[in-house]
Amino acid sequence: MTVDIIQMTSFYLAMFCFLASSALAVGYLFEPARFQPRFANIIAASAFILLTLFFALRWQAVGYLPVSNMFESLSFFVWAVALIYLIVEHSFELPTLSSFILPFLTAFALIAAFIAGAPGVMDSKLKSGWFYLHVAFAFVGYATFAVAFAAAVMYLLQRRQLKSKKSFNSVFNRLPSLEVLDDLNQRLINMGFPLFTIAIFVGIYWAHKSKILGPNWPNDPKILFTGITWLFYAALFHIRLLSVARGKRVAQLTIIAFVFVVFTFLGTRLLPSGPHEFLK
Amino acid sequence: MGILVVGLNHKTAPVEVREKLAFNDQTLPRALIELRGRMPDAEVVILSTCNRVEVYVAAPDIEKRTGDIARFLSEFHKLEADKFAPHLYHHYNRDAVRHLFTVSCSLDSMVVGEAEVLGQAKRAYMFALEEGITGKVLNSLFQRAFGVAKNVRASSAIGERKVSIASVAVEFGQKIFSDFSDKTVMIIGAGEMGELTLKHLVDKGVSAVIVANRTYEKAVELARQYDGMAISFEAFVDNMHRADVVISTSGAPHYIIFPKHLPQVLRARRNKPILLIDIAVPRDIHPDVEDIDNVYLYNIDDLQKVVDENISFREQELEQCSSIIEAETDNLMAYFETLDVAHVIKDFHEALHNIRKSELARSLNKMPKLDEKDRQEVEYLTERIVNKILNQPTQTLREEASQDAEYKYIEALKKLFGL
Repeated sequence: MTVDIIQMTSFYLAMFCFLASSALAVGYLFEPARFQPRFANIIAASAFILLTLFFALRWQAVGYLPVSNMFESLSFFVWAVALIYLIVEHSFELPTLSSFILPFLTAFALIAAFIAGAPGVMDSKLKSGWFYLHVAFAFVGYATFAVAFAAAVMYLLQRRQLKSKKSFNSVFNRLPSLEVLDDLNQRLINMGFPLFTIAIFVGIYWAHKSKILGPNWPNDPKILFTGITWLFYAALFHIRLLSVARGKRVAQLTIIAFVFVVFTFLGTRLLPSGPHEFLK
Repeated sequence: MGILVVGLNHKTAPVEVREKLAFNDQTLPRALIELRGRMPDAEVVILSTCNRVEVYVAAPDIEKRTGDIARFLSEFHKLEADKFAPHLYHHYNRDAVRHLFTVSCSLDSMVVGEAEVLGQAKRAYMFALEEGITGKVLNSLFQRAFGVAKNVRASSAIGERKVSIASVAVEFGQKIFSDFSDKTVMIIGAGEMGELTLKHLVDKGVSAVIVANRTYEKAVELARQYDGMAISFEAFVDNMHRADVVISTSGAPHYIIFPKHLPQVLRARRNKPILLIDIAVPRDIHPDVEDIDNVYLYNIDDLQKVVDENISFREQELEQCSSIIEAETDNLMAYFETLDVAHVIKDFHEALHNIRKSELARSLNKMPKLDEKDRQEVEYLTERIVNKILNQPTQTLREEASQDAEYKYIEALKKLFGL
């Protein structure tokens, strides 16, 4: 019982920290002298640690990776995005990235907090090593796409600013240069696409081997949309590889692709459920 | 003792006059020594920049010094006084303090908020300091001025925003490219503003420079200055893909870069963005070029518009800066006040009488048997002793002050009695 309380306390504390770090990060955009991005990042890192604690405790309590319901899945997604964001922030030091990523992250965190609850019942078919591989690669892949999405939004804002030839008095004055944002986007897609691909292949291999999805698996909406999403990122990956395009179009495509990620993740629940639907 | 500034600046004197009165690093030490020779009792700092020549003096009866300084300027520069005297301004004491603060905060500059003047003021002060001709007053004044300038810069946006065509162009560049060190700049034609922009970019670390000019020799000459490569004018389109930044200032009567040129350039650049800076009048680059993705085009009007906005932005900050300067002027004047002889004499008397009173009270407590008359007698006694002691030093101070030589006495007195 006490463990349960510590579990949920660390979850809610993490949510509170995400909220606080977002407020600071947005504040930085408007009043950089008063809100140092360092504080936002320290608090976001604390949130990440608390969320890690939450998962560790719950994992220990139920005995499997707790992604058994929507609340846990969303929280795990938030955890993965925070992880990628903190790594990117640490290696690139782009203070304005926090102003875009952290509120986005917090929005997901708040939805999770809204539906927070006890662990769901894990389908016994999923208790397999393959499951961990499939889920881990998919979520970390999605998380890199989320950060790439933020970089793409920032790219388009900076580009609009430059094309408007306006003076630098806007809040977007402190956005990184196009070159940095384009490079960041490229690195993230280069990292995320292979992870996502591995997740899919592990899933296919596993489904084929264990037959847990049954013979009807290509008709599952989630699998269908995952395929479409994968095509987008494959296109992005190859556009980069062959330097076919750069800049605006790549940024726009990154944004569209991520809309598909979110839809695959959340929206497919609105469609008739297929064999891939395990969240109760 | 008072403070005086005599000088002229870009607002009061044309450049032909300013340049004749300017001091450079070679003549400045000589000028300081000569001026000091004429006024042995004065502290002196000379501030000479391309926009101003100002002589700061701290000396007794400063009202009489204005003429001396004008005469010195005239004789040192061998220029008749009536050629420049009408352009001179002079400020005394409080106004002189405020003036130096205003100058070092760059509120009096031609380009308000430019940072250079502070460095120039520091250099001017260092020159005088090295010659040993500053003293308590000018040391306090200049050091405070540097502090005020720092404060103003930190608490207002006066120094933010670029206010020249070249620096605004570079700022746009920095929003496109993070790092210029692996970038190439091509300059087409030669013009003052184009070269200035090139210089700004090279200062930011640009590694390679390509110069195209109708006169090939000119291209070679400019290329040599920047360790760059000269190409013939006709070759600029074929070489454009190698440039990340193109500065166009050809002087051609028509466009020389058209939208049709860009697709091949971008293809060769693998769609990496290209910055086109068109500072030619009439324009060199067809305006439709900017609709092409990954091409960023700024012409002289675009840049000038930003410069104008930034200048008016800086001017909005003036009011806030003025109030800081006013407050700091008050502070420094209050400090100078404490160096005033009347002030010091009052403190000195108070200090000794305070000691007397407290010791008197202690002793009287131990002598309860004394009647009122005796008590008064004792009190008079102590008063007489203290006044006698004070008499000589007070007189000496007043005498020295009448000759404006009281400073070392004040200093000593403050130290000896902890005033």
